[in-house]
Amino acid sequence: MNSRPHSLRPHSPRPLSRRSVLRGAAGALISLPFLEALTSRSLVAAEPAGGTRPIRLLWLHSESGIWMPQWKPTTTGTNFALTPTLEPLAPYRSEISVLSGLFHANAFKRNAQAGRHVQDGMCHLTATDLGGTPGVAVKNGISVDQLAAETIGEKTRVPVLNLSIDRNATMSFSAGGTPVPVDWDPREIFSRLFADNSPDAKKLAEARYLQQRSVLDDVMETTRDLSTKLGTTDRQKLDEYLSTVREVERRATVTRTWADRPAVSAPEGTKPPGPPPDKDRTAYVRLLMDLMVLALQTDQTRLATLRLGFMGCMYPDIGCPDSYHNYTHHDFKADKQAAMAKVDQHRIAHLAYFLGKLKAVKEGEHDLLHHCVIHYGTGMGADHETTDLANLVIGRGGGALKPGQHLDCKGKPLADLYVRMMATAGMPIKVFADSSGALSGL
Amino acid sequence: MATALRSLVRAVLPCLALLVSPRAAAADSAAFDHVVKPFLATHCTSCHGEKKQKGDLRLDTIASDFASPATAGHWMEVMERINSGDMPPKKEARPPAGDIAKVADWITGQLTEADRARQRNDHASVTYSRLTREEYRNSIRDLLGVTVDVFDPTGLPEDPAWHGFERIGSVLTLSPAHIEKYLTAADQALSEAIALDKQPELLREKFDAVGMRRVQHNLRDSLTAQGVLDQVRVDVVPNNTFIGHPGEGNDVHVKVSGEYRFRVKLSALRPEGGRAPRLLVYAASISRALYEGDVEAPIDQPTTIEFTAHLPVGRHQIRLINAVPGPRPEDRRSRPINGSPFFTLKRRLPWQMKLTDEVGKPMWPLMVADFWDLEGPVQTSWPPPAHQQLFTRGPDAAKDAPKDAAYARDIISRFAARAWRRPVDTNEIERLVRLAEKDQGLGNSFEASVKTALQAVLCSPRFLFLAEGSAGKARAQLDAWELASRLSYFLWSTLPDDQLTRLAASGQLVDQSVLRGEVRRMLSDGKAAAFAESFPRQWLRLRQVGMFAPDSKLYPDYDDHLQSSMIAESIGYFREVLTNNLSVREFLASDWTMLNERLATHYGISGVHGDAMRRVALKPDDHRGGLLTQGAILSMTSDGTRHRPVHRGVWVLEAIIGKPPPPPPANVPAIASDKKDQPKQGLRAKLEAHRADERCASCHAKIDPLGLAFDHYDAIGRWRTQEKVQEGSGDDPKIDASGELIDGRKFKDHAELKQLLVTDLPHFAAALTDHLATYALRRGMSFADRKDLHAVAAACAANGWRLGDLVEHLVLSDLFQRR
Repeated sequence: MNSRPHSLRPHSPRPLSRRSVLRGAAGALISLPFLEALTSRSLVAAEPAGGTRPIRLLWLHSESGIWMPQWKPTTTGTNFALTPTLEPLAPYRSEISVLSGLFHANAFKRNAQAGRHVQDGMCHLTATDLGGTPGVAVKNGISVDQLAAETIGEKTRVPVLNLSIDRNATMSFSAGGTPVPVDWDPREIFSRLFADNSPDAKKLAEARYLQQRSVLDDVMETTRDLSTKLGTTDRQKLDEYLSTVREVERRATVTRTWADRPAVSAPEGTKPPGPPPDKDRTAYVRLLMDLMVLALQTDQTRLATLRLGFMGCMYPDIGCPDSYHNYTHHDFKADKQAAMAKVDQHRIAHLAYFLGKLKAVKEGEHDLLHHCVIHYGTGMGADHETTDLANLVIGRGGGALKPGQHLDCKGKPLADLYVRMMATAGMPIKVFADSSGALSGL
Repeated sequence: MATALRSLVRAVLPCLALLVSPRAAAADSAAFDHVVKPFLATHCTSCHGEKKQKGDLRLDTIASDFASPATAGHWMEVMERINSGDMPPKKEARPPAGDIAKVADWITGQLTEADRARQRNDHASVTYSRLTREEYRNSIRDLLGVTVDVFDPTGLPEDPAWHGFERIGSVLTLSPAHIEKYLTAADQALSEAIALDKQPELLREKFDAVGMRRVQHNLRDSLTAQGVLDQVRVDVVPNNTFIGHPGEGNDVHVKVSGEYRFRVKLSALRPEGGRAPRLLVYAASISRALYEGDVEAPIDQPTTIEFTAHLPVGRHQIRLINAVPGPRPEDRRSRPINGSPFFTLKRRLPWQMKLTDEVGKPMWPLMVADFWDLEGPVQTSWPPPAHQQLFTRGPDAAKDAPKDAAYARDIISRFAARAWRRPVDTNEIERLVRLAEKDQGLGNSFEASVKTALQAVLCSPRFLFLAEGSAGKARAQLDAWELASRLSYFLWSTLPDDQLTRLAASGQLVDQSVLRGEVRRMLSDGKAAAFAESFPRQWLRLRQVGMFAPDSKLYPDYDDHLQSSMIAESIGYFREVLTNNLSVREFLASDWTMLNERLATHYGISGVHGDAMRRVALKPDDHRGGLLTQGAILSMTSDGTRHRPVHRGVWVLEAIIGKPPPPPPANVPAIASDKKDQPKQGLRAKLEAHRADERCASCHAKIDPLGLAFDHYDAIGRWRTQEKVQEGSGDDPKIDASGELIDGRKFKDHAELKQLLVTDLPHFAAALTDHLATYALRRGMSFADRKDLHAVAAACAANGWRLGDLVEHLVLSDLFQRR
């Protein structure tokens, strides 16, 4: 038997005695040295091989709706006034477009299995009708980040970086609609980005690759044998297994091609981050944002997603002790609506922090933000179901976009925006989910 | 007691007829024809019918086919709209609230049934269910004798849950991350179990007082010169968080993963009337508590705590923490930063005085540590036992018996048969032998190449999935191998042992008396602890305890130790009922519970000393007994700021009564917050206002009384007679926990409600059987399973509804032995 001390809370998301350890350690002592290392130096992105700067696509998700009256500007066009919720974005006003009236039709199709909240996260990047496959209660499609990764993912060491402060909340789904787990541990993310590239490590990696390859080949053959004996209805689980193994093998092959390329190391003075500051949500979100900036600036990836919150998120540090979800059930009470708007603004302040970091990284004549297209939004409205979703598009995509306006999209599918984003990054993808084409007017 | 049981038994048979839950009504198509259709015809079809189909919805022809997700979606829409009062529109006549409730109930029942029926997957000839990460860890442990740290941040992804259950086949999906982790986990486990090289050197690290404090200058030299180095000790006060520099702890560089033995030598002093110091040894690098426990040892008689922990390769920062919450005495003393930071017995410095009073008694829970050390990886033998079992020819056998393909075949097929839990297919073994040969061709040793093949065995779907059924055949009955696995993963969360395997091989296992003997043997085996812990954790949803952590300002008494003690009470309680084969009645009401000192203090029960959980007799004044008034249940159904009667009621409906209520519709106004200028209003009054709204009444009349009955317990489960209301004028309202069940029976508080539930013991036994079967069969129970479930529950009536009997009858049932 296992003689280790018996842990009574294997699932506890909070591994430490709340007051003892975290008070001293969490934000201040673990993440800050890392943050400081980034801010204290002038940052210059890696020089690209071809000369032109790559376009980066990012999706940030804020979860469970947004309180629209404090969010939506009253006038459209370039002269719109920033609303209270958007106020923290004032320094970057010329870089943002507020999009109103986008419709996310498939996220609003009633599904008996997934409720609104599950749909919020599951449909956000897939725009898929979860009940659209006959006989299957919940089946998702590929998410836009994964689709984009199929085209440009192999140009970078990490095809796409999926981050979340909730380790169980993904918005990314592979081609077969299976969930792609998120990265949430700052230490793992850092080591994924900056792997050891010494000759010894390479030799070891090659030996491991060959061994893994033959193990996977065997496993696939066994699975195929098992599978051919089965009828189509029986095969679902094995097919899922087979396609997953195939995907792992493909990834391993891609990783291998990276072994021979020059090593990329973190910018000088960057200290590897510590464990996630679970108790200090602001520090945690910003630490993940720092890692995103680091990944983009060193061109370790060109695609990333980040989930800023989750349904039960509480923000006692800004005077909102109840969960955000409870505020969304506001009962038309002004204090709850105010609390909702306060959390919205708090999250927008995180976004402003992120934009500041991107702007601080010089890229040629411009900065990193200039070469990004960032989508910020949520899959549901303020009251769990409205067709008018809160969306922001930020960055110029290298000059292809002209931000700085409030655009009424008049019920166009949200997927149109995703198609436009991919087009901006040079991807000739015309059809995605329920899109009717690339969104114009940006 | 005995008479009470007998009268209960007499009450059983009529009650079983009542067990027909909403699901039974749901299946009744008469309800569709006589209740639902007329309702739609009266209130809906003028806009959603033959002539008009507003919103593309037509209800006069809608089928009651809930297996189709699209149709089920329409029904859900209907339910939400009529429940929320959205439909029929305002200008139309309102349907009577009772009619709305009936239609909504029918839809809920159909949705639940369709969900569970889908999991039965009747049309598939083979069903696959992935091992959970707990089962994966245990299976590897039994195969190779090594630990995989599946719960570490770098371990396996968390298993998704369905109604609390984490082992439902159709819910457990796979992602590339799983495969990558399976590859690494198998490689790491095999590397620990198989000796490819000479025995790794032992790592020995020791941190004495100076080492723990990590003092910069040459203190060690000066203390040595003074001859007092061996008398220097380190004080660890609460909230001093750890020894060493902030954020770091003591560094240990582990080059070989394995079991490491730790020792901590310390004195630990409890202040008068206060709590004992609590030692927490924490590895920050892997976010894992390596050890946690209360310690007490006099200043002149230090104790040595020993434990082992599995450590992965890497640099680990190990911290010694005094994990008692409270004030931070460190702030109050003026210890010079670079001066002598040590606690010695002989030299008491002024700052040390602040830790003890004039007569030298501790003012805080105080630990005084001499050293901590570790050694490892610990090996019981070299090569490790698993290596010796696999490589039967031994290291020197090369001379007389060659390490050839036949030998590889022998090793691989023996291992695969155990790992795959059934006889192996020759083709698959040959492929693995070729894999080993190919690997050897790349220049690897015989052992290394066999290891590669074994890695493939552990990454095969045959290991990772529990498969039941024969391809292309409609076989209803489990074969002996499938039965052995189902039983083993049910009671042990791991693969079958040798005896179970032998009985499967001989086919004897399908013999009912043999099977009965096996259930009894397995329940009395230590491995049954897996069931005794995992089942109650999933059934009672203990994973949610602490998910919404109580606000530290409102509930300063709540700490991690209390939280883990609460969970330990509920799990220990289940184990106590199981191991003594007590009646399931004990879950509803009892005159005992499981406590340690921390929890007893919380409950206000005196006379319990020490950290270990033990059975404690209760008096009525203690206001405890049964599951429903346990801290874990009461606090998990609360949130950070207050108790939540509705959540408590929903929990009782799901876990105890087995009738999950429908999910709340969107846009339901939440409970109003307190107003400064009005008299203080308890939650009960607020909820009653809520229920005055007829849209809410139909569901909440069922839910709320079951939650309000526990209003005598606050958000962290403490007994009270008044509800603390944050804002408003006047006194806090007195608790009124009375209520009425949907059938009209009244109760005045939790104790009377418990007695009503005890009267309905057969209902509860049936609900529990449903939960047990869900756990054992890895799928939700559907209408079609109802008869079997009743038979299992009824079989236990004669002997007083004992839990062990319930498990036994379940295994012996046709339901358990069928696919």
